Amino acid sequence: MKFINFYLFEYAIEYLLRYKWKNIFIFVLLSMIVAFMASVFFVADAIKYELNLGVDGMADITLQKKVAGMYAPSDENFSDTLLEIHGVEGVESRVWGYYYFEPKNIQLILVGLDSFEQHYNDRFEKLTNKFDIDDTSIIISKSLKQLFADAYYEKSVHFIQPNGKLKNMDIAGVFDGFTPLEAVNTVVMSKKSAREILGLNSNAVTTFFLSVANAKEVSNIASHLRIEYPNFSVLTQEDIRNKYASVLNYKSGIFVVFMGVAFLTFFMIVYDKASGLSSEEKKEIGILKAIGWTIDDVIRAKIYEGTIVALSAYLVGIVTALLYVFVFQAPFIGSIFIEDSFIEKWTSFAFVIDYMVLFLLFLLSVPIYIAATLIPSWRVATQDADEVMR
Amino acid sequence: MLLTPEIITIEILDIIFVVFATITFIIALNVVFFWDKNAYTQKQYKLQLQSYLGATIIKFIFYLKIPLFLFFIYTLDSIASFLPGAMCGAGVVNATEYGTPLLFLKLLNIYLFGYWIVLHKEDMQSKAQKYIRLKFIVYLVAYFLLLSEIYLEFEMFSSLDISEVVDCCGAIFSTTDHSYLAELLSIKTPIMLGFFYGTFLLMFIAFFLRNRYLFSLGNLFFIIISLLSLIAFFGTYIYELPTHHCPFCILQKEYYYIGYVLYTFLYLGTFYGFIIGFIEFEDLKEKNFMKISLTCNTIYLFIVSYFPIVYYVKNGVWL
Amino acid sequence: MIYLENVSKKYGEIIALDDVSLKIQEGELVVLQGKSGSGKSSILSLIAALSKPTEGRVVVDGENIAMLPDHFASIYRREHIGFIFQRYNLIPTISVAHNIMMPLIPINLDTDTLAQKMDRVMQLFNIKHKANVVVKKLSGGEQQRVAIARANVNDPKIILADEPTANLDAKLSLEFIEVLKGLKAQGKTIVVATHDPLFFNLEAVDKVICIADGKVVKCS
Repeated sequence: MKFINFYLFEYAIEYLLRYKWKNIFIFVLLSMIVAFMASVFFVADAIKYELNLGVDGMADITLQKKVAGMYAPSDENFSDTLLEIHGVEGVESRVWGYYYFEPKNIQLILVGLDSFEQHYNDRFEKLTNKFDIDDTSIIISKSLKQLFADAYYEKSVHFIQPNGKLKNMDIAGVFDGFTPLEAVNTVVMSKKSAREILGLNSNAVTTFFLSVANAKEVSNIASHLRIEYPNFSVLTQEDIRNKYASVLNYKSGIFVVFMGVAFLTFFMIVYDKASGLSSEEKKEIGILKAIGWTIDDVIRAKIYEGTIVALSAYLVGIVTALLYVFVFQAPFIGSIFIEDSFIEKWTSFAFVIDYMVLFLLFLLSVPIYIAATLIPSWRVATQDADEVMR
Repeated sequence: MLLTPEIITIEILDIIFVVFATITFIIALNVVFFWDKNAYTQKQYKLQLQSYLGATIIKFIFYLKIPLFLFFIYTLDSIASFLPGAMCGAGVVNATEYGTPLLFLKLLNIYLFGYWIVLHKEDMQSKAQKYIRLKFIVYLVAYFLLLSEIYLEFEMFSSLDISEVVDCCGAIFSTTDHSYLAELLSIKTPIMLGFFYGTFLLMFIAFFLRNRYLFSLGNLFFIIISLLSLIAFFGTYIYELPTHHCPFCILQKEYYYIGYVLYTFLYLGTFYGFIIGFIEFEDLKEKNFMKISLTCNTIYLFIVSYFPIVYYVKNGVWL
Repeated sequence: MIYLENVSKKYGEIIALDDVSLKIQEGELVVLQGKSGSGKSSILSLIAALSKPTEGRVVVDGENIAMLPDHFASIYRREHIGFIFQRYNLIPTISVAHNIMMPLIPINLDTDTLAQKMDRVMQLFNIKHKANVVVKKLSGGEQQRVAIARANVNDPKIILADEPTANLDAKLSLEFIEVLKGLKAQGKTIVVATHDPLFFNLEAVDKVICIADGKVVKCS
């Protein structure tokens, strides 16, 4: 039982070429919808990938105190209490906060750490080994250095302290090796400087990073911490991963709902178009029936035609999306997923493709197109062949 | 409701299924009640033409259902990462009361629609179209099953709660519980294997006797015992873990997607074997179908037996 | 082997055929004579199972084709009938070869058999040299040869021709008649609907059936 009739296939292609202008609109429309949706997925997946890479570098458990739902500083000595918990291997504390850099209208992330402390993240470890962080220096990323330079801060940067005084910090070094999302707006400095700029007490820290010896114990310890210290937010790597995933999924979910609407509208357009055959086309079908084509043969030819149009539109859409995202770096769509302040420094999207996304888009384009042509094809196939002769 | 792109895709296609299946339902009603092949009326002629539309739609639904089923399995797996506790599709299926009947219905419908297609092909061979009424009566039944399936699917996806902890497959398929499933899985291995290989032998005997009813019945038993033995015995050798019984995990990358291969052959073999009991084919065709059925079932048997044998050869002991 | 038994065909109020009965033997060359609108084209339609009678039976080789469901009517047409339409009904925008291939496409033959069948008719009707030419560029006579080739590509037992010489000059008309004689020599049954007097006193014609106002009448 030969499944595909190649002669019929050839006829379908040849028919489409003869009536190409009728199909061009649909072809372009479907390609655009597929390209748009594929781009959204590619961007979201690339970001997810980056975020997950970032998460890998995070601590096993992150603790931050919360007062009335807002993050608040805690005492540095709390580290000792935490170290006593069974299973906790190491505790690092950090001073962390946002700083609004007015000249360039971006939020900086200030990270205050001490060189002598052991860092959970070996990239920070390397950083502190490489550079000496004293109370007047900062270390920033290459792109941030460029940003500061654009604002005429070549060798040092002014920070405004809560008391109104300016604190001048020298740019002591540039780091690399972090993922774009991590590094982009991060300013590394000593704990003391960070406390000064952020207006915190001399013993204050904002975050505790716990290393846990046995990975399987992480969720147990996290649960224990949540019960023991209900005024702290306790996040495991898993939690952060899921949070990112759900935010991204939510955003892509919105697009997907939009996409659903787009595809259903598309269905109606195709149905409409397929129903409007010119008298020339109708005559051709009539002739075919008169010379021995069955209704099934005509319907099959129409389905082949539909498959060819939909499949090629799908492929064109995917290739367009690939070029748009990975070569042209997705202007517009990219910024929807990355906060505006980041987009300038975003270097490139990681080439991450989830094959199931491709399959998903295929399921939404080709079968829907074919479904839309089923009834019109049948109508055409069942027209009276006798009419042809008159 | 969990709103992942995969779920939305499935729901969109479900909407399309419902619309088209309903159109066909109306056609089917007309055929079942008003078909009169000796009538010479405009009405009968119109009905005839409509029956072609109905057949086309049903074929479309069936051919789409198959990749969609695979996609559904993949979706279950992907949802597993959102449900705390679930580590594969089994956890997701078990998370709601709808999961198991949904899965069961989906499998049933794949067999049912496949049967319809074969019936239709047979019908179109004869000018008398002897199956015209039968096939649309079958469709009337299939329509309700399809609608139930879509309804359950919608309900299942709507009621997934990411804050509720679910059992993972280790818990679902444990043999120490007091559940119905646990009792089935506790059947002694020699007895279960006896049934398994015995049913296979039965099918061979039926083939030589050219008895289609026996063959069909044999295939029915074979589906049941294959799934049971896969979960209870053979699966553990694929995972090389005596407590890992899950029928979903073999679909994952770590096991080279062997699950897809196994289930495909099992489906093809039992499908062809099964329909022989329901349709009277001409001798040559019947023989061919029996051969296809036996071949696929044999391949399934070989692959599934390979694992325990290799394990024994490598390790000298059974699990 | 072709019988029309008490066949009537009505299109609403218009009566195209009224209680027509006729018989055509295998291998005969039969002419249906009558002017336009007399109903002779309707008879051809019925024999080709392109339309169904309002009353009566159309029996071909023992089978009542009037009862055939659409699907089987098409298959019957594909296997047993070669129809040469009055206006040829070729697809003008594609080549000669593609036009001739049309009846064979759904059958999904292997490439060799297909090529063989195409070759045979293209040679036979002397159109092979124009195989790749788009049909609308051909002359009237060439187009007719394509139509004949297409009608014969599946080697049907029955050839039906509707006013085949209406658009031809005398020379081409005679050529066409030679073609018909050749087909008859192959044992085919041929039915020609025409009012061209060229056919009336032809030796090759076995029977002339006169149709007027939808009824079989005595020929004058």
